[in-house]
Amino acid sequence: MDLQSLYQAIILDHYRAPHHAGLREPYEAEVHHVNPTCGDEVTLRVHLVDGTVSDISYDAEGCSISQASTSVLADLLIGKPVDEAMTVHETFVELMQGRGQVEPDEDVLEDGVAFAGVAKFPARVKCALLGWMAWKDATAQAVVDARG
Amino acid sequence: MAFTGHKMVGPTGIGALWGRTEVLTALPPFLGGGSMIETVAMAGSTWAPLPAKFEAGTPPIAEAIGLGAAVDYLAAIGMDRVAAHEQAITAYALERLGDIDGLTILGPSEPVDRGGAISFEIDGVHPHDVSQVLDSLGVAVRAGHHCAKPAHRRFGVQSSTRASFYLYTTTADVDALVDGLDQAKRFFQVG
Repeated sequence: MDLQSLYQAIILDHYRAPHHAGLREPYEAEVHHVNPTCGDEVTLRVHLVDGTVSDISYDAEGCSISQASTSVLADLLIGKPVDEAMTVHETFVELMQGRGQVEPDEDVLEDGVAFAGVAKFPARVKCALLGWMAWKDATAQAVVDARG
Repeated sequence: MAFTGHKMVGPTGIGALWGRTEVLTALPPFLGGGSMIETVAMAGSTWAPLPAKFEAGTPPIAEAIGLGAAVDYLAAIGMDRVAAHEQAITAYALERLGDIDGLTILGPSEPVDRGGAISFEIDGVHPHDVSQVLDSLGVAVRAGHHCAKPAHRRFGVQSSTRASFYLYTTTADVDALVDGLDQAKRFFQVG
């Protein structure tokens, strides 16, 4: 197995200095997701304003892959309309579940393309998706609550 | 006392339960099936004597033969020698691992009150990342909670890496582990 293809420099950079880390107010939904096979945990909050992702804040504990992917998630999705953010989410999930056969779209995923190599390591795909699944869950809750 | 075959050079899917006759006689069967009955009537049944009472249905025949071979193999080596090797290799590993900066051994750092497995953590490198680097170097360890999450809470760590030693583990294997840990620290630029 090629370690360099798994641990791209971008991933290590985000791991050492995660962006948008910490839990902040205000928020409409908070979720706590765990990966029971390895013990990684994330508490994630979503703040939506007029259908746009205004903030994503989180407290995460886990491996470099899960920490970095949550950092990239926050970078990518903060400021985007929810619909567009969901499309980016789908693109990232597709990449991660593509067993390394999917060519990543840098225009959509930006730093997220660094995770293309993770898709070749089946045991680590769940690490990369932890924060992303938490975000989708929290956002879905926030949208439902907003509709009353 | 219970043990499993796959942790004593035997097959998976089989193990053994040892208990005092009076206790096992008092225990009801936990499964019904072939070979475990004495008489069966519409109003009630009686059970076969020990150990058949607990061995309902078709037995794992190939596994039993494999476990028997494992027992013969270990008995021929001598369990006292297996234990002595395990203690020596664990002592060596505790010493080598203890010299690594930033590495904390969970549990006793002397080869007392412990078996042939050592759990540890490294500052700044998550166990899953440690194990990934070691895997790429051909060193197999386990990362996570090891079915003991409360114990990890007790030691104040989120998870740990665990190296296990057995009768075939050599000091060169331990050296490869230590080299791998140095590489993992370098890779993640810790220490």
